[in-house]
Amino acid sequence: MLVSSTAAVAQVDSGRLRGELMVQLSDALDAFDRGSATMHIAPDSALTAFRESRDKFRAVIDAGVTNGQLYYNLGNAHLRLGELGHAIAAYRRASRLIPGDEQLKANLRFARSLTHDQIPATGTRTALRTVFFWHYSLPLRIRVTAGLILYGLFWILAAGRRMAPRLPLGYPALVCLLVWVSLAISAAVDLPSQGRLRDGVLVANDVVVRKGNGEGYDAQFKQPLHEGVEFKLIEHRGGWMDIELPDGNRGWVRQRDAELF
Amino acid sequence: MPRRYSAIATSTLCLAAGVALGADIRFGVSPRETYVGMTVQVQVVIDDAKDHMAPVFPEIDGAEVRSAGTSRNMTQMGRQVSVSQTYTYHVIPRRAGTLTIPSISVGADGETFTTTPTTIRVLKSEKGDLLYVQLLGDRNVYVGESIETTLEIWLKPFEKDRIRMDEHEMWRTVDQNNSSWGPFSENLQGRSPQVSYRTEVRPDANGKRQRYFVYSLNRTVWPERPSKTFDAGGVTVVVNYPLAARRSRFMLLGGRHEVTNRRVISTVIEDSPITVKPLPLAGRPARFRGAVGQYAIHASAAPAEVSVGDPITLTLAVRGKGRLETLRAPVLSLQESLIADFRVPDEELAGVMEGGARVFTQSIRAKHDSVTEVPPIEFSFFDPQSEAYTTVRSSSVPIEVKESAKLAVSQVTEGSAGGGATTKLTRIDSGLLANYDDIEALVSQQTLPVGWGTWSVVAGGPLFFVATLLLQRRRERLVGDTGFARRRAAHRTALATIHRAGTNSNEPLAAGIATALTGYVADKCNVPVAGVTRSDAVLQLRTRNVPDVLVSQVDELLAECESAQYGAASHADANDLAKRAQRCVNELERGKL
Repeated sequence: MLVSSTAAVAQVDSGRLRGELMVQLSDALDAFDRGSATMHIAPDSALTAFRESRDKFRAVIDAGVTNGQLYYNLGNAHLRLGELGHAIAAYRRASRLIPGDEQLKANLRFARSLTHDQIPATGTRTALRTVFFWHYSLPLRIRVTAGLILYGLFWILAAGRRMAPRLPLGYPALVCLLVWVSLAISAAVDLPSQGRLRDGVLVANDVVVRKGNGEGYDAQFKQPLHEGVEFKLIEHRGGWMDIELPDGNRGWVRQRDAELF
Repeated sequence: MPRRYSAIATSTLCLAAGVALGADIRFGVSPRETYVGMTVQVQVVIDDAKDHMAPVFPEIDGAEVRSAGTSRNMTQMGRQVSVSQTYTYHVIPRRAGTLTIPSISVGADGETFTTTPTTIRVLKSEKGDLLYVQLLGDRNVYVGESIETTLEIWLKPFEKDRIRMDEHEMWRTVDQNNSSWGPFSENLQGRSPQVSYRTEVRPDANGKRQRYFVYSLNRTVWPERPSKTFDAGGVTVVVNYPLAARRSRFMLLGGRHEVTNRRVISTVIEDSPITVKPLPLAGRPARFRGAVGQYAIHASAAPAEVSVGDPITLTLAVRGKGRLETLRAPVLSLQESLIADFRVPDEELAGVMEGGARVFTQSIRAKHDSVTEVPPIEFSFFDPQSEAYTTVRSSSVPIEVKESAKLAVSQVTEGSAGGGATTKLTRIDSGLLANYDDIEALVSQQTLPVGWGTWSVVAGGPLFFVATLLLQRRRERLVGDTGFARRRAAHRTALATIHRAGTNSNEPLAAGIATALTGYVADKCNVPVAGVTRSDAVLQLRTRNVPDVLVSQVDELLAECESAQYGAASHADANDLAKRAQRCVNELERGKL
């Protein structure tokens, strides 16, 4: 997602298309405001406005714009339309680009609070998120940029230490090296999955999780799941997906009942 | 002064090109011939207007007009930017005949533009007995009362030439995009539409019993205005009914049959037993805010112990049977018993849904310390079951109000106490936060900065370090090894000496060449220059395995130099000697002496 094709970026950067996209965005924001203003007075026309807003945000994204705030706005439009699963998917996409954004965190939290199934995450995942908070809170592009700067700085300090051994450059160089290695590992964890769909969210209600990739398999859980449940994609097989839920449980769901991101 | 523009109405929308200079208006209607219930699109395009008023679309007898939104378009040709604002309207004819779209007035840049009336031919959709649409629900309801409705679409299955389309294939003939679904559009959202079907038999126009697929869409609706026959916001169903079909060649990939010929039929709700009555004016309480249903109100206040003027968070929770999502809060400033003892803000409360209740919070402040409770809060609604307005009250909430603490002199002088009591705000964590609206930022790319700059840094770092390392080693060698410095400079020194000898008329050229050659050998071999004779030079060259040919050349050159010093040598001979000496030095240098 992050590494957009050069062609798409070049297209978006071209003046004319950029102007058109800006007009689309302006219309989408206007439609959202119109919907917000009338949602308690005329719910039907508000829904029409939110739908227009959602479609225009989506059109800008489809034109090749990769932007966290844009995905956030799209999530808001989905949420106002009651499309909880799609809203969470849009927020999660945004969180890969602007993970530290407080508004995004608040709205994602709110959307998750509306889900029917509240599945707690395993302790290991929570601990990992606590220890490596910087990995989860810094956007990949910030980590890569900071890593490059530290990398360059390390070589400059190392060269400076050779040229002027009396200057105290050893420890700063060591610090640069350690931080750079941490950032490089962090980026290396995320980079291979760029452009690959690895997470997902259910977008349909009463989804029966099965023990295998077909309707003929028995249900995995007594309870069906509802839209908004997030998962990790393990495997894709035909129109079915093997998924891992936040509590570590696994099972198969139909691909059409979920959105991957 | 009004200008008249003729309407361009064609079967496909055709918009005339505008003039780039000044405001211009374009007007389009599509199509010119349609069926009852089918949407006609009307577009008003305002080009290059610095300022304009939105068009006023007049009401049309026999048709319904709906705004379908506005859009802006910006085009750039060279340095000239053209901005168009398009207003789109949907006109839905409700009866057959001729429909006239009257003049539309648009004010732009101080001028008034007016379109000419346009006529559309509206045909009755010859749907025959192929399609019926009816709405089921409670017979008599009030505005705002919830009704469980069912939209039933009766569609006669296509049967011809031994081809019988099943219920799924027939549902696909319903043109969902061109139909108007009103509140039932929610049922069709997402990948699995909430539509059930059954098979029924009903007599056709000739009294013959025919089989129909009946598609049912269930939804709770809240009528917003009174009407004799509730049509759920003008539901219109459009069907591309098959005239001919054949067995699909790709049966495994798609449906069983593919339609080879079709025609459009449409209809509105033909049968609706629902009558929507207005809310009675008689007995309407002053505090009534439009709530219809049956509700109960509960109040709570926190903190329970405050000083006069301190904020108290009053929380009102309204539960019950009705449309809680759009419920408006009771106006606290109209509650006499409350405003007698409390200061209450005037603004309308924004509510949130929590645990099946609509919850409103407001900060109120006690006016005096004799207040002992928050009085009951009244909430009025119309109860459709008893067909009367009802007012319910919350229980009173006991509180303790102390006298306001007096400010110490030091607090006043230091200003630490501020102007009044501090307000402790209670944050509501639920609810949606606003959109980002910086369009420049929204359209910017947030991609990975991987390009030539990145690879330059990746490769440049180690290269820079290696270059520094080599530079440092070279410097150390130059400083610590004087012989190395002499060897590095030997070639340059020898050539310079030969050149200097050629230009210096006071010194014989041959002597200079000899000094250059012996000096070169001495520098390369790191021996004192003063002690190197012709034979020493030759010996040093042989010791360093210089090819015999080259050693002989050096020896001959030195010998000729000696002869020239003591004999008479012509200027041409001397120049030739210098050139040969240069070549000789160059060859020795190439041979890594």
